[in-house]
Amino acid sequence: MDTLLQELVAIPSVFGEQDATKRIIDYVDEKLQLLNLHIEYFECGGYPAIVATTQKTKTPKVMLYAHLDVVAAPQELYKLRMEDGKYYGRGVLDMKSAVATYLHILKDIQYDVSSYDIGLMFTTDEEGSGNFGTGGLVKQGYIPQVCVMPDSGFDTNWEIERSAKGCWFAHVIALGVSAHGSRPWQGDSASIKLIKALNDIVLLFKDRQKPDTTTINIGMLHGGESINQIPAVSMASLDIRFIDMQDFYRLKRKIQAICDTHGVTLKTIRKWNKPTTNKLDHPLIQTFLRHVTLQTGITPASFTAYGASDARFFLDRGIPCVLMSPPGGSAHSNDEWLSVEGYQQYQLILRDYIEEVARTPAARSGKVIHRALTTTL
Amino acid sequence: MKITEPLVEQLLRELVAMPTVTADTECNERALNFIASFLKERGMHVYQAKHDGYASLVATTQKTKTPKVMLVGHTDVVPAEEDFFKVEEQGDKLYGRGTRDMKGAIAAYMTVVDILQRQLDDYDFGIMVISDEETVDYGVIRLLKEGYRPKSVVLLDGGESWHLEQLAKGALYMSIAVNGKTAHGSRPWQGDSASFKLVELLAEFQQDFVGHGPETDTLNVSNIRAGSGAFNQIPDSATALLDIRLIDESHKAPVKARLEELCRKYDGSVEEIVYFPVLKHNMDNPYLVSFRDSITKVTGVEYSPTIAYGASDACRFDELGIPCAVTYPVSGGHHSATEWISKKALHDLVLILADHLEKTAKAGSQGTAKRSAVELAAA
Repeated sequence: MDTLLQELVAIPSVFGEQDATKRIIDYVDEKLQLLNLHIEYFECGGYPAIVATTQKTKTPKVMLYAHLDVVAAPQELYKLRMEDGKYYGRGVLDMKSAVATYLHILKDIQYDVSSYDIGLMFTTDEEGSGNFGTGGLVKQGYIPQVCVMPDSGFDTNWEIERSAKGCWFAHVIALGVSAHGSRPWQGDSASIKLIKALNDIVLLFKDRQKPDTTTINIGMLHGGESINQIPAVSMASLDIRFIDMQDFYRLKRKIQAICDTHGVTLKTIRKWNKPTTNKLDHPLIQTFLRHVTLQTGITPASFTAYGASDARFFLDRGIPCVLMSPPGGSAHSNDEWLSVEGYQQYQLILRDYIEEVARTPAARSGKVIHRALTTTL
Repeated sequence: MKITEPLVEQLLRELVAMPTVTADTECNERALNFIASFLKERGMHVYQAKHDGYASLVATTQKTKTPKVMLVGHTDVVPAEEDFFKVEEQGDKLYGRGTRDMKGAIAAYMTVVDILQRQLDDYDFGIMVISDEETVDYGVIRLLKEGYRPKSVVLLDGGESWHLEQLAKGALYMSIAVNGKTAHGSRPWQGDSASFKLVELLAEFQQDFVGHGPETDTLNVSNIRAGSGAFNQIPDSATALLDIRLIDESHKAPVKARLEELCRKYDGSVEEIVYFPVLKHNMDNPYLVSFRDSITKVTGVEYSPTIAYGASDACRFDELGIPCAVTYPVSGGHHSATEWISKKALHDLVLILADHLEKTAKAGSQGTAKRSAVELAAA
């Protein structure tokens, strides 16, 4: 088993949990400190981030990106397990294997880092809005020529994302008047208002929950604290994904109308980003795909992603992103998995890739050398 | 008539300042220890117990489990903002969590004991206080199982504004849990949203209660929970608690059947947490007649029976044939952010209790030399 991956998975860095977030940032920082890198630390909105570069620059040629936060999981998923050629555990795919991969590679080149022009970007709010981490860092000028981001391509076999659905996060908030549970006519139940509004919203999406349409998830429901007390506040979260902007705007207007009818508030938590398109014909993307073929024998196909990732902050600025991961699946579920062979292959692919594209002009030899990693996986 | 002002208000302030939300069993135990010490110091026989972490006490003037009158109360309260655990006086109203439900009553009980402390041997009454009434409410059940059988009960936890409760709606507490399958929020076709199913289940169920009011069955939906907080994860479980009040005992079975039917439809399960049966008091019982007469004597409010919408521990005593005089002093804002008790009503309660105990809770012939409870309260 990969010890580094094991240790990373064991830290339950659930988005929003400050203690665990600090633990994982400290863990990664400790590793980076040994690798002769220029390290900068950031914190915005309570979410820490680290950027480490081989050169003192904000614009490295290649940025290796990974988010350290994960979604919640049962306790047993924080223990890496290997079975039938697969790793299981929370974050094995999304995306602690990327963290481990980068650290392995940087350790491999640690005595020669000045010959490369690479950056590593680690954030801790991707499962939230991404605005504080990647969004903030890009605003501060961290603009590479290409970003490697294995945060897509889940449930595919070496496919690369060519486009992604847009995404909008919102809260539906119902306010009422509390009273004794036996006297609902003296109060105004926030929970019943919320339920009625959500029921109408869910109806809008009947027959729509498909890969090629606008979809909805209600990730969170919360209303009331005491069984015999009319709730004064109730809330739900909406996660809406879309390919067609006009369809999204239409549905958003209908959702707003439903909320107005039921006297509840619709509040944007993460402003919608339009569907994104990746520049697959960019030379830096094509080079990566060539190394995938060399290593796996597979010619990568492209696909449209249903989820959004922090790639949108780069894509919006025209920066191509290598949005593919080693084979794995069931992200965010209790069966999250990663192919062991694929994980190893990805490291070799990336190592060869940075050897070809990320050497500084002074160090470039003009040759591409396929090499095995010198570190033990 | 003079009013025992300082002590009853002091006691109310001390009790309200303890944030005895039901789940905080430690704080409730502190409150019960406070009450126990007060009563012991004044000569009562105090028994303290704990069941499943919930503390309770029974204090009696005689060493008995069958006092003539048991004054019953609970220290636990529903949640509130931090600053509501403090008595604020505005005119005649004393605001604060528990002022009405039911720390005002407990303060009055303690005050009556203080008044009678030199003559407690002449009386045969008790005080029973539990700390889980707002949730599972096993406290009284357990104490009754231990053999407590008062001849009558006074419970300031029903009725309204000195009007005695004639009928109390039944209270059916149910928990609902719906199952699903988790997946990434962007791929709903790979999962099965428990939150959708709970919303649809509750939307259907609440339709049965549209237009509900004082004279019908009613529904409260609370403690709705689904998801771990992540926007982009499909919840694989969703839960809610239901507080259903029934105007007639015969409504219980169809309501439960309807919930079970909906749970089958939406892949859920339902469980009964606790049930308080519909309660009809015998208003001609001498103890109830005495209590309502004491109310009229002190406050001038004439007897007029009411329907109580909430259930109380009265049903536990009623099941054993023990008559209960149930009312609230003048108060309001039950379980809300504006809970209050009338200051005048608080003082009146002390006098009402003293008068009632004088008539119904003497331990035997006491001669005429000693002062009555009413005289002591008025002094």
